[in-house]
Amino acid sequence: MTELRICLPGQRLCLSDKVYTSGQGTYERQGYIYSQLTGCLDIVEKDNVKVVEVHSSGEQTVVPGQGDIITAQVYIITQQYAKCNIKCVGDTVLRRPFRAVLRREDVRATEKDRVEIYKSFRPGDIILARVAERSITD
Amino acid sequence: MSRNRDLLSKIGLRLDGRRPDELRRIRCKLGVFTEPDGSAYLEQGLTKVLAAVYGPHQVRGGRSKAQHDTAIINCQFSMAVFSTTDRKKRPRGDRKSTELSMHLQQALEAVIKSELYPWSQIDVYVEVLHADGGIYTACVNAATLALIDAGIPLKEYVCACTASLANNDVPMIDISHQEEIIGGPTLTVAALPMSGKIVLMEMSQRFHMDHLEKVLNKALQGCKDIRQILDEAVRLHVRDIGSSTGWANTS
Amino acid sequence: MFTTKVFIKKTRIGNFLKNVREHYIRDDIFCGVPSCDKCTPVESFLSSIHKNECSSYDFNHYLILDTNVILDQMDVLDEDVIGNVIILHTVLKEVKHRSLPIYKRLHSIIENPSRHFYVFTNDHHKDTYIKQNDGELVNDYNDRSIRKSCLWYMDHLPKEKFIFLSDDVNNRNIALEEGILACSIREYVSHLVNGAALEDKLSRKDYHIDSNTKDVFPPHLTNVELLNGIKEGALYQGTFRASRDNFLEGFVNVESLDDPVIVQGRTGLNRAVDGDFVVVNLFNKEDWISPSEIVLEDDGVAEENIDEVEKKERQLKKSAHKKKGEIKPTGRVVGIIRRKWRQYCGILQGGMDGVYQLFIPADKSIPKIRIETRQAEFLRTQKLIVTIDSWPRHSRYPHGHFVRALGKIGDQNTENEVVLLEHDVPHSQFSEEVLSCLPKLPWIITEEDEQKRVDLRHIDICSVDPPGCTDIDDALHCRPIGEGRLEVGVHIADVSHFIRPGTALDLEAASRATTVYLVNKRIDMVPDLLSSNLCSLRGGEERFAFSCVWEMDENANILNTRFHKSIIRSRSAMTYEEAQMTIDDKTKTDSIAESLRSLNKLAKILKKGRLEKGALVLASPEVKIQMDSETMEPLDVEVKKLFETNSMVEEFMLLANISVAQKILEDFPECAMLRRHPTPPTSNFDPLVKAGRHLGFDIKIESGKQLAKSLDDAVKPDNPYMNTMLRILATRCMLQAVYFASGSLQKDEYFHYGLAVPLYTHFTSPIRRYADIIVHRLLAVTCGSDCTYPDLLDKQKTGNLCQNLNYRNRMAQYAGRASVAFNTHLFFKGKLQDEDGYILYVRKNALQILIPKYGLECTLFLAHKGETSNIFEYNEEDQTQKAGDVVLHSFDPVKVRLSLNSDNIQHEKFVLQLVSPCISGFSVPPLSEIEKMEVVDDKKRKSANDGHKKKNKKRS
Repeated sequence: MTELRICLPGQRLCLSDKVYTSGQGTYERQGYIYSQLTGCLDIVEKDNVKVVEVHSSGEQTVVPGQGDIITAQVYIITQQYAKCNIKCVGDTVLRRPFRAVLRREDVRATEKDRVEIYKSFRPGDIILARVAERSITD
Repeated sequence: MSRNRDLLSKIGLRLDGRRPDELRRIRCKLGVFTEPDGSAYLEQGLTKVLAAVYGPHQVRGGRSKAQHDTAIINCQFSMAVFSTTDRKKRPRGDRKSTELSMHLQQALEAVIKSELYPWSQIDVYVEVLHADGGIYTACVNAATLALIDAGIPLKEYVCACTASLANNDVPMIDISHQEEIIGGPTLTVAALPMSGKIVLMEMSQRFHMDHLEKVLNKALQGCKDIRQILDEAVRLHVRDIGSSTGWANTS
Repeated sequence: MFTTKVFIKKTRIGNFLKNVREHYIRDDIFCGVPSCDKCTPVESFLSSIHKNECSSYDFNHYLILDTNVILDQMDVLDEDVIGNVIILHTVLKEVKHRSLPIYKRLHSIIENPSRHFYVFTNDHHKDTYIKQNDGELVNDYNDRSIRKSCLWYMDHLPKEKFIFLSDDVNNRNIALEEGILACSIREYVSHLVNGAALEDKLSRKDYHIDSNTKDVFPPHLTNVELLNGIKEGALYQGTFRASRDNFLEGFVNVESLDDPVIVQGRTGLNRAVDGDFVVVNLFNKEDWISPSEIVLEDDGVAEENIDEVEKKERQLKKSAHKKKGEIKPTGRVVGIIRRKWRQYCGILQGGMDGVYQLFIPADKSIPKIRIETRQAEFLRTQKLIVTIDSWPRHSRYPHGHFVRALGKIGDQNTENEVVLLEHDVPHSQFSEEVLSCLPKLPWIITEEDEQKRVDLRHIDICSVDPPGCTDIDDALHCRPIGEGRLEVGVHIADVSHFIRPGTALDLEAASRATTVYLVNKRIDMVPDLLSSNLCSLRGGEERFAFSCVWEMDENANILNTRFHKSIIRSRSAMTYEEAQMTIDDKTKTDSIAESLRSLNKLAKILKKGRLEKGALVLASPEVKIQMDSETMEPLDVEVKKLFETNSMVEEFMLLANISVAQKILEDFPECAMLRRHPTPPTSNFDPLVKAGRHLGFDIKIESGKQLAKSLDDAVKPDNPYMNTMLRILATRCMLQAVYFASGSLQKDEYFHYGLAVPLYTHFTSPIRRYADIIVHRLLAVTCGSDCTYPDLLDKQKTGNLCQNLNYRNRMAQYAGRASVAFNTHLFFKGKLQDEDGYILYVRKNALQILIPKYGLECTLFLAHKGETSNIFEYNEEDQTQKAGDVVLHSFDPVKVRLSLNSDNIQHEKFVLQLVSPCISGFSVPPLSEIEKMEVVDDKKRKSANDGHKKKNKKRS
């Protein structure tokens, strides 16, 4: 393991230019890249661009966002929707679950109007899904 | 005429033996609890504070509070009933606690990159175990540490420091309870020490314009000094945790 | 950089409280000794040149003092001989805690570089800090800390010698055991080379007790007994006030009792000194007595002799038992909580040989003090200052020590000094630091000044003041500006231009607070250059002023007011008399005369309006003493003459003050310095109402307005002076007017009763009053010509300042009166005169007589104190004294003979004898008859009197 560079929030990492861009755990302000987490500096090369990332040493705080692939457990089913708890976002296990709703029309891509929830899931099922949108209603 | 006892002796020492620009001893520890996502304990002189951070998580209670573009920062300040010389009736809910909660929230909102967590909420609980002056500053500093421990993205540290005037002339920082009682007005500043931005400033009484600037500068210097100390503590903590977990989660 | 140490302190304030405070111990505190090469050099006044020479030690050394040495022997430490002293912080804190005045004195010594004192912060130093052991008393802990520091110094600097001075035998012995050179201050001072004079100044606390002398006083109870007694209600605490007439009697003002407690006799007073906070034990009701009315003076000459006191005590007892009519709570002092001892002015009692001398304080309520001195012969001719050190049980008198001599007895300068000291007037020369704040001469008006100020040099301004006045702080002008309007300006010396806030000059002026006028001396608040030159609005010279300018119509209604700083040139500095003559001289029509006339006219309207609103016209006899400029002896004493112009100037000053008060309150609601005159409580008016009733007038006191009206109505054609007398009485009912910070009181308390205005301040005399300077600064801010500074806006600071100003003003007033009294005495020395007077009060055995010509108020005894006269009959109801067919009422005119009794050189007093109305067997015939000479005027009479003094005295 190479010498680790520990970064702290607010620490200026480098200039933000064509070579370096801000990645995970960092942010850009006035032409510079700053760390926003406590953790180790990591530079990933991708398409001739160096992405500056900071990885937190402990568990990561992740919130499911639109488009994320999530692993969830169903706990209530109705005619219209299934309620489920999100357990993982991508590879990251969440510390505590987020609640989510899977609507009848989102169960599958085809023949949406024929879907019957109780035929698709039962409470306790683990499903893999993509977050479609975030809103208050759940 | 001499109602005010001298806060600064002729040889330039304060009542407890500090010089005007010296902070009290700061001792801190991150990750003192396992249940919350982040926690910290901070001693500033005899003022002792615990802070715990939960979240980000889904907005609880009234969902209407949730924001589509940002996370809600919910702060709760409380003081242990045994923290002051006179036993307090209740630990929170009084006017002073509510005010301090709001001020804390104001300071933290300035640094948390809350736009990363829409529709969610971050809870920050601080509890004063022993009050000996500079409660608010200790709370802000402890909350910063707890947020770092929770791994919540921050623009930078937010540090707070108090300052006052000794003998109506010499600015001094990090005011103890004894000095608060004897002395005149106290200035409390919460700032982002690296960018030099002030996020909160409060005065217990009026300062004269002539004095304000130098007192403020001292307080900001105090914030920078505090950041240095916190920084050290965090680095130590990260190194400890990191080496024990074998730098898990780091690519 | 520092480590911390937490220590826990238990204090008891009703409950047990545990106080935890931080205590930081440092490694950056240094020893301050110049020869030290281990420490970083710090600012230290310790000197390698100064030598402490003491014959007990044959080497140069540094001194380390114990707390008790500082507390008891401050007068010794004040001397230059002792230097290179290290004051430990532990000691400094203890001194501060025990006695603030001593701390202040010590502090000024520490600040003085030529004294070579150094403060070592031992309690924060890493090597000298020690932890307080469990159960260790604070005193023992402090002693241990001090010794620890001594040892540290010895260890730190083996080449230097340190001597520890302590009067605590115990501490000293332990120190010696530990190898510290220690000795008592007495031993040290007595072996000091060139220290002979110092021995007189040693405090005599450790006076050895001679076993065969018997105790003169009963012991005091212990502190615990006192506290328990007070808690249980068996004992009472209060302030002890000694009687001025009877040295064996005093009163204790106890808060919980309505009447003061009488304490009598040697055992009753039990060593209490006027002002002490004492504890008394009340007697049973049947032993209560009434205050004695006899006069007893302490004639004791020697220490041992207490027979004479016992005799007087018996006398006192006899007289006390005679009249049981009005008994009051009686008790005896059993303990003293806090001594209020200070330094006392006085003289030595003659007729004593040896080193022990008795000192008689000027203040009659203070007992004689026994001092030890080797220069008694010299001191007997001097007025001196002495302080009390202790009062052991076996000693008839308190023990004290000589502090310093003021000068020859009876000398004008000495007496002035006494007056100033007794009234706590700061009167030392202005220090170099203060003088360095003055502007450099020649002083010129720069262009910058001209731009900032309004140029009023073209306006005909003049000043009107008493003759001989050199500190002219006000000037006036008045000119028509068309449409029947007048522009009236009051121009006040711009002192705040020269005295900048925070400078040494400013601090000194703030501390002095006011210029003090003695008869032949003026104690300036600001240095002469300012008071009599640069600030004084002298005629024909260009000066800076702060102007208050009104536009008025002819009926003196103010149309608008403005304030600004200005440059003026007074056309002429007139006296009141000159101004009056200018007004009266109809041939004069120049602009000055014209403007004076219009001012006078307006002033009359203003005054009328003011009186209608209920302003009081009060009177107090003010006298002026004419001094011989060569010999400085008083030539004549007379009541000040008043002209119409006096009132004219006063009227405009009042108006300016009121206008300014409104303006500054508007802009500074929290910290404006204002002046209020509280409404007196109704009970204050009792004597006035009573006196009025006896004369057949109904004096209404419900409001100032009614009082003013009833005073105006109380006129008797046959006794024109009577109205003035009533006004004098009314003046005495009033309370003192005081300065205050506006934020510290409610709005309705701002009222000025005497002037009947809701707002008032002082603006017009900045040269001689500090309050005016503050007001100037406030006003300068409101009109944008100056900026504020922190203390100006601090309500608390302003409040504290007000307290000092009020105190100094009161003291200045008393000092002024005392000086007039002294000079009046001087004037009457050896003279005998018949004078017209009026009866002010009728008392049981005396008449209080006012002699308007000299502004004197004296007592005419009808009988000896404590006895009743067999000639006069006293009627308490009507307040009259009757002798045969002559009845004496209050306010009756009388003729009295005046002479001065100089038996007691510290307390000369006037003796009066009745001349007319003639009462056989009591009154004396007029001087004129004795001499068969026509009395033409005072001066002739005066010269005549000298020759026949002897003869008259015999007759009387």
